[in-house]
Amino acid sequence: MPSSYVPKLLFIMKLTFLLFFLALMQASATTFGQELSIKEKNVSISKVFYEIRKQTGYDILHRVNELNTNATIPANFKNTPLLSVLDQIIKGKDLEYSIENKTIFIRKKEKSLLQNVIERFSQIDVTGKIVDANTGNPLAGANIMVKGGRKSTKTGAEGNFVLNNVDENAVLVITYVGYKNIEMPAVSNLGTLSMEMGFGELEEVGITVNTGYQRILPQQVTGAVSQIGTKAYESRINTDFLSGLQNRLPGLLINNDIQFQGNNLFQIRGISTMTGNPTPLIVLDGYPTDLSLNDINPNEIENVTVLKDAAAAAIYGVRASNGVIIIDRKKGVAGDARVAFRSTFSVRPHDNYSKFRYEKDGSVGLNYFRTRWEDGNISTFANYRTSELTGAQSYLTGFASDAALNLLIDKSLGQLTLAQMESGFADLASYNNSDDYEDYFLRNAVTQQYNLNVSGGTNKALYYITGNYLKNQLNQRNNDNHKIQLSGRSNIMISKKLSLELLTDYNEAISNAAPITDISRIFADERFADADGNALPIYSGSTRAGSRFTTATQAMGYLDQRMYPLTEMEEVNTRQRVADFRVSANFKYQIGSGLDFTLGGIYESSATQQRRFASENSSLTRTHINRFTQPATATTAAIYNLPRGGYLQESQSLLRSFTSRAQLTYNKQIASNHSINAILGAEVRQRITEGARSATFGYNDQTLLQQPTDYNRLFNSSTTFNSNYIYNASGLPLGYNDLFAQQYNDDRFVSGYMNAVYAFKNRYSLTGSIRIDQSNLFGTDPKYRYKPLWSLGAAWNIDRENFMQNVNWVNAFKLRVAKGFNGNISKESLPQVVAAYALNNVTLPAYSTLTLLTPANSGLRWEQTDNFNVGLDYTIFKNISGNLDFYNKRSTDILAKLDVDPFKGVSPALVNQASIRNRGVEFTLNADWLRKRKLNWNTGLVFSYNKSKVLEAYMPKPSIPQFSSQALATVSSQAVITAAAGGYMKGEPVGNIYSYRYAGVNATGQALYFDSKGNKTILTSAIDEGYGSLDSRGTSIPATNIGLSNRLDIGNFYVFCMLNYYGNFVVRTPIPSPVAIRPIEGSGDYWKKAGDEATVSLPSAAYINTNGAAYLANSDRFVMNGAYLTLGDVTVSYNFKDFETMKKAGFSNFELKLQASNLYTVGFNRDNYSLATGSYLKKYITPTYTLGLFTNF
Amino acid sequence: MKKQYIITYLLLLCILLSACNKFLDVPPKGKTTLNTVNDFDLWLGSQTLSEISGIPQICWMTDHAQKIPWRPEIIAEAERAYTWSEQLTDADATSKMLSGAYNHIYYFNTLLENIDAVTGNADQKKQLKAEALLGRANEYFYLINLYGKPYDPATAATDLAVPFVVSSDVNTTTPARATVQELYKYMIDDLNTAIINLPASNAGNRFRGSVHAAYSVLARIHLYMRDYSEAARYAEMSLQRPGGAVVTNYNGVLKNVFPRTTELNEMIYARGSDPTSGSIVSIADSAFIKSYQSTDLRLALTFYNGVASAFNYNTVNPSAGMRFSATGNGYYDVQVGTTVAEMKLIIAENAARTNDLTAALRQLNEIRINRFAPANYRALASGNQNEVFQWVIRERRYEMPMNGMRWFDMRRLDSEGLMPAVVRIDQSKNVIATLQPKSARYTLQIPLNAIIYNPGMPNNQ
Repeated sequence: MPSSYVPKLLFIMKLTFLLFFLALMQASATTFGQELSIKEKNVSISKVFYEIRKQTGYDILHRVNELNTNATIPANFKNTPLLSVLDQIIKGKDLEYSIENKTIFIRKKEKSLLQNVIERFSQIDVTGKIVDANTGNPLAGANIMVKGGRKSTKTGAEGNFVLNNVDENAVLVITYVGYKNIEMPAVSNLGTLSMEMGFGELEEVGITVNTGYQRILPQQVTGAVSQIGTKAYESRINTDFLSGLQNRLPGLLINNDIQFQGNNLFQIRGISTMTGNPTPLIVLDGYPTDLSLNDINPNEIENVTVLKDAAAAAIYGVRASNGVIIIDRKKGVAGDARVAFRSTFSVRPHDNYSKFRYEKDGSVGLNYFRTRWEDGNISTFANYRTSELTGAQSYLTGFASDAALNLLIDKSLGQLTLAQMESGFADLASYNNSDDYEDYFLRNAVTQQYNLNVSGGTNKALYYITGNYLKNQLNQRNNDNHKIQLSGRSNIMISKKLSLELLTDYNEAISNAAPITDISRIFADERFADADGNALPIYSGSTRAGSRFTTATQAMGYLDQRMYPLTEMEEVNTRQRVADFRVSANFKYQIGSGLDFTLGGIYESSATQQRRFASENSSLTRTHINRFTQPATATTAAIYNLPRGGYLQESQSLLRSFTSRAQLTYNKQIASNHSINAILGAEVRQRITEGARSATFGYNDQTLLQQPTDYNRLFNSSTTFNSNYIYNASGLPLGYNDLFAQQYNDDRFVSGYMNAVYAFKNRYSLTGSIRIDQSNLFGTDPKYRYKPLWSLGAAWNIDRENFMQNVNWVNAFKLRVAKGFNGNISKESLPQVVAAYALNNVTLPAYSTLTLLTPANSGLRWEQTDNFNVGLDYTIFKNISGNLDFYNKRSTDILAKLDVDPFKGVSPALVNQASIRNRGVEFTLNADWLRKRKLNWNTGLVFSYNKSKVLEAYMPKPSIPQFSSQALATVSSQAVITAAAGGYMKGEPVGNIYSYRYAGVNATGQALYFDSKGNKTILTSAIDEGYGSLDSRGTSIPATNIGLSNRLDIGNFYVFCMLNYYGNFVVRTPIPSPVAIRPIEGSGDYWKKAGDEATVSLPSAAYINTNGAAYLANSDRFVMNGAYLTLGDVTVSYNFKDFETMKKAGFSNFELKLQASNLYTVGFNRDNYSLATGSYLKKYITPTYTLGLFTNF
Repeated sequence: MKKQYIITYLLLLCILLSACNKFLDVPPKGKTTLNTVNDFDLWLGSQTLSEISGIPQICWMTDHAQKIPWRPEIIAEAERAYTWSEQLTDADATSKMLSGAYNHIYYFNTLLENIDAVTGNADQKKQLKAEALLGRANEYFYLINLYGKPYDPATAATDLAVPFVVSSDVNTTTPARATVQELYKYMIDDLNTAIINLPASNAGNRFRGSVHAAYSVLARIHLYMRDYSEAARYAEMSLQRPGGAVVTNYNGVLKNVFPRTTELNEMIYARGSDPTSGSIVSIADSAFIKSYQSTDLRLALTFYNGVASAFNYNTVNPSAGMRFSATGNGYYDVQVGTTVAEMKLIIAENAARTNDLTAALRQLNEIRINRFAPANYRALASGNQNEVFQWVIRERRYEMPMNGMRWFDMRRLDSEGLMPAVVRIDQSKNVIATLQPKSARYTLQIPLNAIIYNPGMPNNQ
């Protein structure tokens, strides 16, 4: 504990004693028993005093100016206790009395001691003097204000000031035109403070716009910028950085429920690249970071700024096409050490499968399976049965468990009667393993987080040190992770002109993963353990094989490769360790006259080590061993070419990057009407990634010994291993390149940039920026290296015009327009042929060769985005503010892998041909509906709408007239579906979905679809109209997203609630198929016999099995509106800081928060399917409950 | 204002910027642009150049193939090839026969266009260029025999083949289709140019070029131009190679090793089948399989039995016990390049056609003696020219059943009126397709996806 707290603690103890003593004294006063009688209608107080003296012998003393004794009071006293009389006298007056030795003292009321004590703790009077740092002359008229509050004062002629009743935890902000702001914690005597000349920060505190390179006054900003501060960010408890931004900033779409091209949605204003990186650039404390977003501690956020258009982001050059997110972390403030401790604890229950959309009737899948083999495919079944019995091949993948298959096989071998088989099937149908699955494999997820930071320092040296520990127990057993984050930041004034900012971060994350087979891949009738608790195999996963097959192959020497889920999760473990390090240093030298020189840099490194160990008892290892086993024959034993024992795979990847920057900043007010804020700088950036992978077989994790392996025999010999014994051998990652690989990548950039803001009369401002990036990506020709990206913007603060001065309800009204170009890069193509080193395995020995990576493309360019934005910022009625933006982004020269003329020999090739347009509207509203001393109601509304259109991209070609007689000449609808799955179809929005028009079932159980003329047809590759068979249904990425946050503060209590809406998109849902391993509800509703077509909704199982994936799954019956609403968070908080015990314990802040996230959701479609549940199968949303403790002392 | 400061800082910036070029000029690892002669040497070693694309599709068109059970609902490239459809691929699909060959041509063109500009030994440059010319001609050999009409001196000047592409830049315009005559001239000229600079031997790596490899490709080219004496002349020359004209004795050769091309000295210009060509197996026609003598070692070495398959069982009925060749499964299964045996067969064919039966039978027997166990070998002997000629054709089928040459043979035999109609039947003996003599289907149409990019390009019938 800092030493300054010790005297305070002693003081508290003394006061406690005193309070106790006074309480005793008051108790004695209540026994006082003198009485008085006066009977007059109105009597003057002096008369009453006279009577008191006469009747009781008590003297009364009071100050003449405090009590007007000529005033009268109604006197109807009859044996009235003296104290009541005195009460009546002082009633309504700011007086009090006390009685000592027959003397009554009446005096002006003083605050009770208790009240005094409390106020002494929380309120202080601050005094100090402000002088010019260079001359030492007092500064008159400097403004001293409480940050975030209303209290303020100005210095007098001698530079002195007094600011009364300031909360002792407050931060003071001292500003003076032409000088740099000072921020410091309030202490009663600040002494003499020096202010330095400078133009950088003469604006109001907390609302400058930080572009990462410079800070711009809000009224001078011409680009589209959104910002969120600590209070709003920390209204909810955040256990990771991004979730706190969800739906809080317009144009930024973060959604983990929806994926595009396999990634969760994380984008600004749509997607404007195809092969480049579609996520925004992250800038942390001034420098772009290559580290994971997980490294950003959510407790450290001072503010987050999103730069969305060219005027804001062009300064970041070729990486800014997708927008920029700028994160400022908390910094130290001069003063005594401040300590903050935070802890959160959250629980998320595991899934409850009885509430899932799974078919409850266990016989649906079994019935289908029986009909399939019994009715249709007897002869095939006999073949399959034979091959399974002899171990020739495990063919039986007939959509039933091993137990169900065995019933059929036993029956066909005459080992079971029909009745026995029936009862066997009835037994299977009656058991459902979902409860067992939950018991064996799931648990409640628990997250614990502890965060401690200390900050303080003097104006010459500030420090901020923080440590964070996060521990996650995931829903799946044996899966967990934890993370340690350490960060230190300091700011040192080396001399009056030279300062240094130094930041270091270290993060280490360790995760453990064990394989848990997903329930959707397990037949409902399978058991995980026998009655004695021994693990049982299941019939799914990559090594599906039946018990009979296993018996047969074991006789040949193969190992039992079946999946025993209970064993597998103990025997296979993947452990990953990520250690990230980041250090940045910035020297700033004030040259004078508004000119600063900054030289700084950042170095980041990230090392990931992954270690996957599977013991010999695991299905994984056994399958690998079997893969390379030569079976026993009549005369020879089996040969295991892979040594028996464990399998260890290790991989590591290393990222190193540095950026160094030199920058001149000029910030000056010229005369009274002109101001210039300009920067000119250069940046050098390098990013190296490397990786390696290796594997070890026959490894024992206890003895650390491994057996030698003859890789030449495995991968390079003429011996072919029979893969019949490995079900789905192609799914096994056991090629040579999967076991051993090296990777190395070196990207380098050199950039020059300039940005200038000119403001006239604080009403008009013009901004312009230009940046040139060079990289080692595009070879040596400067034609490809240089790409200036620029922007121009203008803003007009209409509210400052004379004609607006009488419009009192408008406080701020700014119009801004900006245009410019952002870039993006893809390093996959060069103007020359790029060749990759590869082994030629055709020849013996395999030797190194060069193989074509990308063909020569003389027309290669940077991708670029032409960005136009019009915006309006407003503040009306003092308490409502927000902005409105319209944008049009046109990304051209997008590199896309397109089919090119096959005569060119390199189709598909990466060419600059695609183009995407994004248009949208964004609107925010931030209103303080109530703003009283102890009551505040704030609403934040964020609305974004983005409409994308792919202007140019690959499309399957429609028919060509000269071949129109041939069915082949028409592009097939399947080809359209396949191409659309890539996400970019010309003329459609990004992520467009096409669907067939489902028209029910015909008399033979086939599905019908409406053709382009409205007739019902069967679809086959021969009966197909290409695009004509399909409807375009719109994007699968939400075009509209709305966030509505409300926060109500009542004194130390607040409640915060967040509503999220995602709309204007469609979603595909799965077919309820009886063929599925775990059929979903309605799976039984398929065509079984003629006549069913009138009643059922699904075609025959045979149709679903053969054409289901191609046609039915893509039909409009399984495409629905994806719009959904969630009650994202409800957070309640109470701050116990005013409780005496908390004060005694030294807490200046003691806040308890309780949060429930994902409480409720509704999907606006037929099935009430909301994507927030995480899966179509899940009917409900799983909430997360979090308890958080936030303290300062 | 302190001007000297500004000047100093600007100067600093300039120094920084001038250091940039050096900073940016780093070669990436794992990949490179082609900067040295050695790079181009590695470039010619690329695995893809060791393979010919589209072999499975070509095999499906021959009378060696059989697709039973025939499933009319599955119509993909292999099925279309099997029934000689006009177009084998849809407008949005890639035809490996065409695009694979042009991809290899891209490699050769890249070398031919750029090697002069890089540093390195001038002789080595010449040699690599010669190899590229040979490789390119070999690819055009396949293209001209797929997309151009069978060579007919009367119409060759007007029959269209494929565009003769010589550029490696994606942005150049595709030339018009060359005539059969022109394209053969380009190929032969290129080969003659190449021979001057080709190395005398490719014994170290049979996939690379040599003088004799070029002769063997010339022999093939002339064979399919039906200039048999010229073909035989080049075949003779190709056999004058260091290492001799040895035919590998199949006795003792293990199936697992066969025909691991680099291990067999009988390869003259080695090529494998591109495993990415699509359909990976060609099921052999059962009548053709039965026509083999049961003791012929080639039968066991070339064909797999249906049950003990290493292949996708969906395409093979495992119970049928049928033989098939894994034409698409890559290098170790099919010998696609030129061999000593093939050259001897070319010599034999010319001899048979010119009624030099002794010479013809000698060539045939020198092959056959290596294809049987000594106990089972019987030398061929006959005085009947037609019988000997048919033996030559039969040996060509047995020696090269699934490497594509049979389709080209069918084309030239059809031109000579020696090819009967080929009939496809399904499992119920229904005729599903017939390839009539002189059918236009002996010449493939240019695939639709190539026509789309070249709208004015005339197509074949």
